[in-house]
Amino acid sequence: MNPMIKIPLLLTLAFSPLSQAELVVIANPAAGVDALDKGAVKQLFLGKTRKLAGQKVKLLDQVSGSADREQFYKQVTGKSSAQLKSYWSRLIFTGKGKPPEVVGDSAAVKARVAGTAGAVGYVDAAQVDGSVKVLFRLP
Amino acid sequence: MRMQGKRLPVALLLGLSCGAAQAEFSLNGFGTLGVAEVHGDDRRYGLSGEYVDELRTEPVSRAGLQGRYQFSDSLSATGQLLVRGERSRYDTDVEWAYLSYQATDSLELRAGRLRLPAFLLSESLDVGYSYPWIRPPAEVYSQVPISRYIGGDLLYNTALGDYDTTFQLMLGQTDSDVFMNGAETEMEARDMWGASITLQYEYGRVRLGHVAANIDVDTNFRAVAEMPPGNFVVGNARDDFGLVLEGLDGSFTSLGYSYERDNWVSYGEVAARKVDGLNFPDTHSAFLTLGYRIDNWMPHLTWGWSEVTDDAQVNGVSIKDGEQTSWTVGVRYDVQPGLAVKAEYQMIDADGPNGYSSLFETAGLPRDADAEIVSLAVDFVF
Repeated sequence: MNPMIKIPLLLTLAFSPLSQAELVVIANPAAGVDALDKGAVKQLFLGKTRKLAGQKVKLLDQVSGSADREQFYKQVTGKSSAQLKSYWSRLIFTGKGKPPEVVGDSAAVKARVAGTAGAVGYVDAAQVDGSVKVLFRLP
Repeated sequence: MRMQGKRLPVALLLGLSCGAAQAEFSLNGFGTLGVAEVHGDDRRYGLSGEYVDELRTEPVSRAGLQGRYQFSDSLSATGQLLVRGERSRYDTDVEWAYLSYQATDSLELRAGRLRLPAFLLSESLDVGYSYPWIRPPAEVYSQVPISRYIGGDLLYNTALGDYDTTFQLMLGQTDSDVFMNGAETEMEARDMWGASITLQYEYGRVRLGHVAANIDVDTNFRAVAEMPPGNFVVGNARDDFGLVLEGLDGSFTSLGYSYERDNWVSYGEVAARKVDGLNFPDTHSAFLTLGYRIDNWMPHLTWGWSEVTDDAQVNGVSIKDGEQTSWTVGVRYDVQPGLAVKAEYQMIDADGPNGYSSLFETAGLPRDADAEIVSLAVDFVF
């Protein structure tokens, strides 16, 4: 790459906290559905639906504080990390649900989704390959 | 500090292997640590008289630890240990201990020791982190001193249009040591039943609930000074200043909502309590809260109100139409997910035709009372 181009690119990366990854919701290829809309994704990740096409879903989350996680929940549910924590604390302590399992970063989520029947997670679109199925692309 | 519910494979924990593919144990905790002080003419305020005229931790502090063991997709056991401040001391109790069986996708059956579903917030009453205030508004939330029962319930979930709807039906009984207006009381409730319907929608939920029971009460005041204040009469006084009442039918009905959209947060509840006889007043009560989120800050305002609707008496004087009104301004600051700091200032006013001291502790006859409460607290969950 031309070094003249490299510098503005680095600057852009360093000074644009709003730069966002393109995120996608992925499932194990054996999943009984091929696509979800935003409403269905929201229902899933807020624990309101636990099954897809009759199959129990194993939800996976990225680590707390990660940029992907903040962006995903803000776009899909409109809630901040603190609001989500408050939401889940009510469900946990009333025995009405438990939050998605935290797995790690995009790469870790993809690996688990690829190897776990019923698993659903969200990852950076750049991670997607033939081992998983894309159900939804965030706008 | 990043805290997640710990999930330990049970095979690892207990060395068991049967059903290990599904089985898992999770442990979560919550707590509120804070101080509060009441300024006014009267020494004490609150259901157990926990607020006093100096900074104390008991009025607002509590902590819980909850374990859940998932035997299979449909069967789980949950237990919750709770330490809670009351009048001048802390009390530790098993608040939840139940088995849950998910019979179908929409039907859940639970049995054991469960929370009494009297209020909108009954099941998360002690989890301060899950709501805006340091404690839920007392005008409504002090009306039912029983917090749990032994028995069972069924929860049926279904979609009604855009509403995710839950029907709940419970049956049970309880023997509890509860505080009634500052006095520790043995309360037995038999033939308890309750029903509720909750509509959940995108921006919140609406809940209508009713609980009823047949109640026996036995207070045993050790000295005249401990005789209960406020809206509680010593009618059939025993030699040791105790009071025994049997077979009182009591019921509590509440309609409440919570709402959260964009930056606005709101809660509200109206309730009616009915108890046989003139020892425990029948009441109407309500509160309304409005909050507005600005980044990690949420200032909020609450109005609370309760009124005596029958001829209940204190020391032979009717307290009908006695009213308590309060205004609370508060702020919640979310330090990070799982940790919030709160501050509140509350002004409370109690009055009625023959004087009315509501949740204030006054010696002798009731009289009008007013006071301010200042509270500070930290809430956490993990």
